[in-house]
Amino acid sequence: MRVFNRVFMILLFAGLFVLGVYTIVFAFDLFGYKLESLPVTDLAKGFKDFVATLEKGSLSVATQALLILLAILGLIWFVSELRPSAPRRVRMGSGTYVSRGVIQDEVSAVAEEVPDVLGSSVNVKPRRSPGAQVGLEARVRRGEDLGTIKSGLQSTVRERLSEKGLPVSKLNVKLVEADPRQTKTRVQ
Amino acid sequence: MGRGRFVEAATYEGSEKVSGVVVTQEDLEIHIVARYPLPSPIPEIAENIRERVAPEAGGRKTMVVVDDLEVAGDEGL
Repeated sequence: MRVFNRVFMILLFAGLFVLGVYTIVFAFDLFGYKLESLPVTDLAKGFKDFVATLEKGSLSVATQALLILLAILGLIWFVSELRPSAPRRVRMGSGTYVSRGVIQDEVSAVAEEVPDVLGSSVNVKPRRSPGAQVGLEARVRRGEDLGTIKSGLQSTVRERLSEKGLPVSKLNVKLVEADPRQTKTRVQ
Repeated sequence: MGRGRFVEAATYEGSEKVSGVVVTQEDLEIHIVARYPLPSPIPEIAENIRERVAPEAGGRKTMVVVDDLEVAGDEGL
């Protein structure tokens, strides 16, 4: 949301700046532009008509849909603003943290020591509570016993990380059958 | 000492730059790199550092961040 907010605010301020420049130009009759020449009365009349239609409850289906869409978008934006941002680092204890990269490297190293694994990719999501959610995708040869490899891999990774004290609260292992010619290592 | 992901872990004071430590009004962040073989589990190492530094932090909230793990001899890499 930070990037979206930043882009939104830049556009908003750019719009306000342009509007400010126009206001000065029109207010002081610069470059032949005059305030009286603006179609302000037409705009006000259009707005008045819209509010009158709204009060009567005789809005067109398209306008109703547009208003509902705007309300839903506003609600989504509001809720996403209320949600606290995800932590950047993995919490180990009170005041102690470890970077995501450390866990990523360790999980990857352990997974690739397992003979059946030809390559891996790791995704680490820090949680607000101590520990991280780790997603490990391991590439194995076709026709291997996936169930055995998965449980073996899961227990090896958990064991090795707990030896080092690296906190993993959830470990998701996904095995992908791959062609050894396209993986990091062909033979273990 | 660690330097953070984007070498952002540093404190500037006058013309001096101290890498690996971020000091603000309320917080103190210490970035470290642990080296294998580890003498004890990582949380224990971090907690030991925190316990030693916290009394000198002038009431700031002290945090220890393990930036990386390296094997002895890899420091120059």
